[in-house]
Amino acid sequence: METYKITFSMNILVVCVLFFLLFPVLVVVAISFSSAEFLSFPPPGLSLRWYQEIFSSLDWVASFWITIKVGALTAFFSVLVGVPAAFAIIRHNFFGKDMFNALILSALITPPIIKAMSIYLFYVQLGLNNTILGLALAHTVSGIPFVVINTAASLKNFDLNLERAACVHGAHPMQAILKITLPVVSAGVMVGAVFAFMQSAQELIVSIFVLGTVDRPLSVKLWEGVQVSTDPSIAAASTVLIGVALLSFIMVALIKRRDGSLAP
Amino acid sequence: MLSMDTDTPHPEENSGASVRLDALRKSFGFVRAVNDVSLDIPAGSFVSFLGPSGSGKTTTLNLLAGFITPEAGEILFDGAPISHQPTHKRGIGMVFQSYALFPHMTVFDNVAFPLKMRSEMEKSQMRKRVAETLAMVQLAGYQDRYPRQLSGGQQQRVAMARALVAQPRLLLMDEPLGALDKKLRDQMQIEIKNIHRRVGSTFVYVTHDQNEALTMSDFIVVMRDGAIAQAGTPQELYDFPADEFVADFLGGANLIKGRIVSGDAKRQQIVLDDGQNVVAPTTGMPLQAGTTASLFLRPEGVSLVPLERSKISAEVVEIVYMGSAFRVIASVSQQVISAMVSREDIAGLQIGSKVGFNWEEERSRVFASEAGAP
Amino acid sequence: MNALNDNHPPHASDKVGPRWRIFPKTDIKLFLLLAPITLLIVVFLIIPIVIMFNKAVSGDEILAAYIEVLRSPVYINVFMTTLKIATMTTVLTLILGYPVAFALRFGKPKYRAIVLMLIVLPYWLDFIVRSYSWMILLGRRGIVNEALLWLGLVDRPVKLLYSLGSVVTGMVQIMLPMMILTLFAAMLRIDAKLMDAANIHGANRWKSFTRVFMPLSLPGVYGASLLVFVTALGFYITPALLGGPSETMISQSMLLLASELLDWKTASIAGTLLLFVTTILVLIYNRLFSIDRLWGGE
Repeated sequence: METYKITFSMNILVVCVLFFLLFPVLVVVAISFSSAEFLSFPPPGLSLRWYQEIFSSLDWVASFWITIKVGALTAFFSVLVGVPAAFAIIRHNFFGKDMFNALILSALITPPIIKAMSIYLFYVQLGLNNTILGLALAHTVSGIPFVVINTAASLKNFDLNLERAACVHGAHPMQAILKITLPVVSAGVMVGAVFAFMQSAQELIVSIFVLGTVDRPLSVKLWEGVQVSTDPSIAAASTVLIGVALLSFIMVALIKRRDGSLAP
Repeated sequence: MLSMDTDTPHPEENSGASVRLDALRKSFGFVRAVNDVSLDIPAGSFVSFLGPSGSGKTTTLNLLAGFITPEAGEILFDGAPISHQPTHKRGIGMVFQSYALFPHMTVFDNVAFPLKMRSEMEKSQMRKRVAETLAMVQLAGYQDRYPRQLSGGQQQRVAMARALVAQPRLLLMDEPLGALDKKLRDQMQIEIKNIHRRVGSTFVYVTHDQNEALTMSDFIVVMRDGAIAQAGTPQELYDFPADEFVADFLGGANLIKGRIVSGDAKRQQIVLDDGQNVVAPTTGMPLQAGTTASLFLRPEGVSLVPLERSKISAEVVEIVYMGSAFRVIASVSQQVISAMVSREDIAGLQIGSKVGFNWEEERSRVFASEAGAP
Repeated sequence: MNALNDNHPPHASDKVGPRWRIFPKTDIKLFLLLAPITLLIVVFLIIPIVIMFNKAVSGDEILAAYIEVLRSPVYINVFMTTLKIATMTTVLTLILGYPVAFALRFGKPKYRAIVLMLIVLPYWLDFIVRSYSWMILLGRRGIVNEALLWLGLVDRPVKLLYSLGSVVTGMVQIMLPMMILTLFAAMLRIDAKLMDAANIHGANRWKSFTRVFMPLSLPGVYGASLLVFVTALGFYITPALLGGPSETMISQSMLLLASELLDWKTASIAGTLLLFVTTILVLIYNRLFSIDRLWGGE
């Protein structure tokens, strides 16, 4: 595996790319602590005023909770429908598997604007516009592939003998799945759920259409702010989001480390 | 119906079930994995199913466990037909080659699992039983560990404890020692045998390792291509194999090919390529003159003698030191014959010298020969 | 040594494992497992899309309406711009990403772990945040301008934002992790021993790379590029934040049409075209890569 030594110039490139990827983000974080009222880097002084501003703003806090609620519901629904699907895919050879793959593919690859426009029109009939449930259901469509893929990966690595051992020693097949398979596979499910949540928290276009007026999630509020405001309060909100993303990232890493059966 | 002599050792509690396989048949697609297999396993005995991969031994085990159902025939535990009974109701235990320990549970929870599933045992009683069973597998005190903290051998013991804790009437073992190193394997073989004596359940043990089968079993069932090639005690199979396949599979065997000259139901005469003639007892039906056949001899049963008194003469090719004995390998008629002899016997023997081989006629056999040049 | 992972046992029809033995029962179980997800996707994705396209354009008008859009210079412009930006993004991410994926592939485990982590991390960050960061960097008072002024290269701040350059920069930054990770996964499947074999038979490092490794990595390159391209086509946030009017991409047009101009008809037509292109590309990807490998199908 050591066939190729990474040359010095290659390393330089890698460092440059990493810098390119990460530096801008660090800038945002730095500016959020700026004491100045405009966006300048490096910031003239340090202050927490922008954080105070958004944490005390009812609007921002409300948006935060909406994002959490929608995200949690999305993760929940995604797991509810995605886990059984993963079992079906891994354990059964069924007629129409290609059709089914196409279905999941379409959920994955449809451009957001199309999803947004179509579901908005659809919801008008159902009265689901401007509801948290409505947005969550719309986001679930995009969240499902994450749950299915990760759960299926865990299931694939699952040693069927564990279920057999459970049944031999007295467990009804359903009991075996509940007590043995699901707990062992739970890492994949959780990773999928986290991805589904994060995907929903960051989603913009569908949110603009379905829940973009009075009550809106963080992504919409952030979007408005980015276009309008010139002070670092947006940077502070962004940093909060970065923090949340980092937390989820660490969470996933911990889940995978503890479980050991999932590839990075 | 193949039935084994009920010369079983009698443990204190004969709690094992008798198992009968009756014309069992199972196919996968066009492959007949188990082909009309019938067998009587006495209660409380230790039976090994031995054979190469594809012989049907694992499929038979899976049928006994209930993971698959037969397409014809029946399995009976203590006389009751169970082949369509779901796995979890059969009251058995099983040890897998990969241990199959539940990774998210402690050793205690793993071992207590069958008790929780099958019985309404009280907590304190459960704890006691688990402790006893763990002690039996030399793992007393390991209750709070997790499988990933244990070595392979320890995991295997936990798997055994889990299989035994509910005192099953039948214990199935699917090549359980395959993943262990030789020393551990030898040790575990003895321990398993001890446990069998103590517990008294019927043990069905699947393996491809003939040494294992010979060491541990009360009875061996050699399987080949979905059918039973021979079933009996280790001695029976070793000393008096039914055919070339069983002879070759169980321990080293001399199988010298030649042609049938004449014979009857009791004895046949076989001629080798170089003209030497030998007479040996018939196996099964007498073969027609001219058919290819093999002469079967166990190396331990062959001794070196002066040429005049020999049945076969051959030229020494190799003398191998085996520790407690010597193996003399000689070439006869473009084939090899080997004998296990002592230090005194090889005095003066040299590579290239012509020697005579002799044996008790009763311990030799004539087999029909499978395809393949000598 | 593990037991065989026998989700699909060696023999054809039978499954070894706890199972329902009677056929109707198997079908019911399968139905229960698949019904919820199918229902959800059909009801909340497929049906709305179909309804939208049906409603927007009906009957005889269809052909005329499509032709009108396809001939309109405004939309031709937008389509072309979208394709242009997506292509540039894909090419640049490929050029930058291939060496990084390569370094990951052959790097030592520790190196790999750290670099992987640093690449995956931005993946988690909001698109808005990442695009916003470029606004700060490239603005008149941004760090790039400050540096240029300080170095004396210019007298006044340069307009860096709202140009093709800023859009592509932002999109490349966002798509790089996806490109790198996909390429990396594909490269992992190339057996390093093949290069060793080439070396033994006289090829030097460069040759064994160009003759052995690179050709083998091509399927991965195509797959990753397709993935990036398709995603780039549908981008909204980055071009909206970092681009000017001449960098308008199709998602922006559609959003404008739908939410402000309320011209759902044209928006839907543009949407069909976008969906059409996307679907074709994905079908090609599926041919090359069999996307159901992602979730364990065979």
